[in-house]
Amino acid sequence: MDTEPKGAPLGAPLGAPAEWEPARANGHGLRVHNWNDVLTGATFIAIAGAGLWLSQNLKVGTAVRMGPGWLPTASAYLLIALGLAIAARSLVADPEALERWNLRPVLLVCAAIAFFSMGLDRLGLPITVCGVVVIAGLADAETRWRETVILAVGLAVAASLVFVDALGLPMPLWPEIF
Amino acid sequence: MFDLFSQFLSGFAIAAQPANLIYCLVGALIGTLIGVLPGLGPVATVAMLLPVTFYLEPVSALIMLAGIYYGASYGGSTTAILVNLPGENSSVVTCLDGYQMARQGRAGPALAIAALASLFAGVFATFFIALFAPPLAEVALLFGPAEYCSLMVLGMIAAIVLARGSVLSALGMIVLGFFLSMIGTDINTGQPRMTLGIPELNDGIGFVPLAMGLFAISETLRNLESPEYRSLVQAKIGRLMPSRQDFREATPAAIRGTILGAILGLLPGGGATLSAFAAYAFEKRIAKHPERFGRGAVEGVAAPEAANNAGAQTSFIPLLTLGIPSNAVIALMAGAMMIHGIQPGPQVMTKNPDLFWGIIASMLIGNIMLVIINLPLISVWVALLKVPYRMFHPVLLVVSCIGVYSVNNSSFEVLLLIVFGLLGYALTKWRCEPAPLLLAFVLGPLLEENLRRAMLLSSGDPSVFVTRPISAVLLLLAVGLLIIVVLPTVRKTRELAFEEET
Repeated sequence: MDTEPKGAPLGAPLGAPAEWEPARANGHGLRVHNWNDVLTGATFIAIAGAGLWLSQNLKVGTAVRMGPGWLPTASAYLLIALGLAIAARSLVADPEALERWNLRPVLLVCAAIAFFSMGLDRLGLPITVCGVVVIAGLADAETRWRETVILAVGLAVAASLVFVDALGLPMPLWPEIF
Repeated sequence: MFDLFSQFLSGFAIAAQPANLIYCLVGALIGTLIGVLPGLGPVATVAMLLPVTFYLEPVSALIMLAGIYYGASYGGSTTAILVNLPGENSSVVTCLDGYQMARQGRAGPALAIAALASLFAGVFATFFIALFAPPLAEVALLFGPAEYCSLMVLGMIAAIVLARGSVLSALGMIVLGFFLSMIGTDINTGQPRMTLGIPELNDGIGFVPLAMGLFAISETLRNLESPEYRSLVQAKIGRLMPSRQDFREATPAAIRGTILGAILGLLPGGGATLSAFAAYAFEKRIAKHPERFGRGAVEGVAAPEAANNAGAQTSFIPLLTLGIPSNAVIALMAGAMMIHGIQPGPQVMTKNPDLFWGIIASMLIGNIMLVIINLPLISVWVALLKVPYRMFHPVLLVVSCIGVYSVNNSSFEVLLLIVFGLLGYALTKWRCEPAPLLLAFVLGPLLEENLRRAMLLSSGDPSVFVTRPISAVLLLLAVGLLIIVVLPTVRKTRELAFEEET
């Protein structure tokens, strides 16, 4: 997975070349060397913080009789501690470039799943499947549209036959208006 | 001993039922297929097929999932030998010598040796499980809540050892998985916890959308962003039959690989990949002419292939006896068992002997099936390699969506797929592996229940965990493991091992 091209890491000076690497801390103030760690730590802390906020009304109880809130609270604090440690490590760790995100597949795959989630009850399975295949096709730069159309129709038919007809899953086949 | 034998036979009666034979074959075929195709692994596949198993008997479901797991290591070797691309992580080392053999026009013997070594290992590992699982389960029956807690802690810590990336991040992933498992209704008071008032979350986060998002969706996203490359498929496979000398060299290597793999598979956190690496390294070390390795040495194919299959199978032992899944695929199977209302652990053998012995017997049948279906079908698998990835990912996406939806007929769970797909993608980019998270998520409810019970029994005195001998030993092991991983020398080897893997 390390073969992907690496762009200029986050935190690089503006206009820095792609191979720009942050220098090691050398007494002239602290510098973040590993944004991967910072982002990991921040994610952990954010999730734990949300958990703490959400479980503030749960009874914590005592160690003998733990209330519903005891373990969520305890593990949230543990997660925050680990998140801080991971983020702090980035100040002293070996430099590591931030991997570039390829937004096109990410957004389009998510859109395809969201389309399925919203569409299934209203549009029925075949139309939804065609939609998912087309949106997923947009995600891949190598997509050839003739193949995609055939794939969409074929999958829509196959999915309807296998999942609704044969396995009897309760999914609508036709759009709501019918 | 006789008892064991008769139970094993009754397992055969179950595995040989026509329906189960078919599911075993289906599992083995799917396993080979995804093993052959690079970019589609057993974790993602098992995650995607979890919903399908709801419609099957628990035995059939697990027989099929197990078939996918050990079938994948078979299929992976085919791609490794013919295309020099590991179809599976566990067959990375097979590339080294297998592809060299293929380039020397000996692709056929390489494939045959790989298949036969796997078969030998599979048969051996089956008997290994049948012999060693029952006594281990008896020990586990002595466990109280405190011991169970310590055992689960040990299992989670062990997951760190084999997670790529830093120990601290892996620890964080474990705590995150544990934390996510607590969303939903509290077992003791019935109070909803952290549900955001969403009724669908009252039963907790679904195991299927979590696993499928973290593995299947995030894997699709990663595959989509790196341009596909597959080197030319070796056109001629040639004679399949290995020569007499091949056999003479491969047999002892396969035996050593099998034993090593069977033992390493037992370790929590172990399994197919680790076993294959260790077996290859071991062969190279004891060889008279180590320079032959990497230039088409038969031992370099036989040993890792035997080891990865043996390891894949024996990694079922911790699940079936202790209830501790040792890697991500096994964790998914634990999830499948729980969905069918079976608590993985020592009681499986007493409460569901059919299930236990049926799965074990099916492994024997499945391994034989794999050799029979694989050697003649090699040309079919090779043809499949020519289907480009752009045709696969829409299919995977559709199957994932339908699968998640079908679990509870819930559009909400399909949306969860997005959340966990993104989380898995992001965390993998930041060098955090999702496997420990999944492990902790599966073990979470169990750990919480046992922890609360243990504290109640000890009137809130946490020293029970160190004063009860079995528990203390387990915790000591966990601490020892943690220290070992952090030690600089071990850390270096671990990094090196993963470096070769990527």
